[in-house]
Amino acid sequence: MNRIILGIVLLFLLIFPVFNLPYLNTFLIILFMYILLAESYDILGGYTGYINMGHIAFFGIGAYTFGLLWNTGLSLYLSFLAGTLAAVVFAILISFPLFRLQGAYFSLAAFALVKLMEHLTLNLSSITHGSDGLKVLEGNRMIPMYYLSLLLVVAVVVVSFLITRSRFGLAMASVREEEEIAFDFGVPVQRIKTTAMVISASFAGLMGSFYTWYTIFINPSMVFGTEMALMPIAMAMLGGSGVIIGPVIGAVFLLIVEETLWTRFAYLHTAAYGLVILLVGLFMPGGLVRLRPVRRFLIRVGLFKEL
Amino acid sequence: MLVVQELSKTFGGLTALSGIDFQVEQGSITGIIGPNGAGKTTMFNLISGTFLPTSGSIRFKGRDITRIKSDKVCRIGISRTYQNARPFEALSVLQNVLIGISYGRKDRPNIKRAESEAMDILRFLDLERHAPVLADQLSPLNKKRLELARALGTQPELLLLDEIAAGLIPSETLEMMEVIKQIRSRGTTILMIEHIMKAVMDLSDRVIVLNYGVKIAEGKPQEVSSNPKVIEAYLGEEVEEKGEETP
Repeated sequence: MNRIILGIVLLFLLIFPVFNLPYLNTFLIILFMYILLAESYDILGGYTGYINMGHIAFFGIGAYTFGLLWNTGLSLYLSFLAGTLAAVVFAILISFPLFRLQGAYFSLAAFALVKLMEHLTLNLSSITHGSDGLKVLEGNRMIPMYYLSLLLVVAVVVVSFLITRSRFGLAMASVREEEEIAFDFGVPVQRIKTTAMVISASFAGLMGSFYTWYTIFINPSMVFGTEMALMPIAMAMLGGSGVIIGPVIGAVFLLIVEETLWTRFAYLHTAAYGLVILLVGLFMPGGLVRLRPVRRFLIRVGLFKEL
Repeated sequence: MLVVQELSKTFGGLTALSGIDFQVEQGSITGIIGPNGAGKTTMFNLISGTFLPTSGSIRFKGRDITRIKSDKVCRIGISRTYQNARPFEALSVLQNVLIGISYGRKDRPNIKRAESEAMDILRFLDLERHAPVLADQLSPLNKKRLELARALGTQPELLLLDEIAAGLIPSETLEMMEVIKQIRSRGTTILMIEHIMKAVMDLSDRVIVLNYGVKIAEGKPQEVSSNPKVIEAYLGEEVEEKGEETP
């Protein structure tokens, strides 16, 4: 059942560009990007329980690294690779100090890193052109971007699925439940957390690179803004953290809400992420997918894979 | 097998343990008793590597493990249960045991072998039918069993049991004692903290008594239970005796 559903959805998405609907095509690209950010956030947030409010920093670092290097004349693929690697290296570097913190302290410190990056990119204008933003070579990349981001979404879902079935996933869940006890039973807690963050960062970094390539222009608030930082967390929480399909559903739901709101009430959508985090935390801590009817349905069709 | 020498631990100005010496023989069951706050659990935390001792040494099978942290100690062959059962609550019973098997020992069996081993352990502890159940759904007795199962998954040579019978009704305690005997007969050495006297006295080959962080007695269960110092620690000094002693 789950294979049939996923197959149909995937097939539909694969042939979608044939219909030549640029508006919806663009919408789907943005949707894929959001799904990817939410799902890759959840690799760390959902399975190890570390709410990384700094996840978007990986995205932004990927975006800027790609843009700067590609502008120097480095080949496209190497620039993509460099964007990913930059995010990974950043993840490794920050994992040592950050993972000495737990709970809200971890989240806030991680969030501070996003603001730090925002200010750095704003003020190092000799490199990043500050608030003027960074431009890259122009071109219409809608169709290749569509497939690249779809591919990345499939990849992150597959990786999440493999994690839930692996020893590594088991260790991540033990860290989420009782970190000290996990350590008492031989789980290399620090290494597990760092690895989870690296996987999470690599996807976000590559997506950031794609994003710069696609939009041609980025500035600090586009990639390091508070709204961007909260978005993946809001989506994962709304959909259901720790369930593979949760962040996907959260992203779809929230993006549709945002798209509707933004055409009717300008600016209201900017409050949406904060509001969602607040309301979900209060009334629906398990997210949409853990609501009883939704959960029952997902289990029946075999799409409820959690750790 | 386990040799503890001059072991001391202070937390700030508070001395939790001072100058403890004892040994655990291979294949034996050793009980640790003592009033609340005597330092029993601290002792376990030192042996398992959760805390570092302030001074003294711990040797396991000839190897100095005094400063080795708990993840490694587990792989060396010492595993434990916790005073208040602390399973990984949102994971299934099977997954709980799998973590011990997958990470808690030197050989790292693949997931298939790990699963069949986990099921063997669950069968032994009569938890088999609960395998897919989430740990927080278990009854107190089964939570205690799960703690045991998780520890057994690491194939420990020395098993530290921290009040495994606490909170159980008498019939359950008897059952648990039977299980402990079986674990010992399979060749696992056991060091147990226990408040339920019947359990300690029946099971233990030797008993160590702690009070205010000091070892006040050690020996066979009968010797210890008739030791005046022990009686004093548990029941307090007799009033009239005290009257006679103080001039």
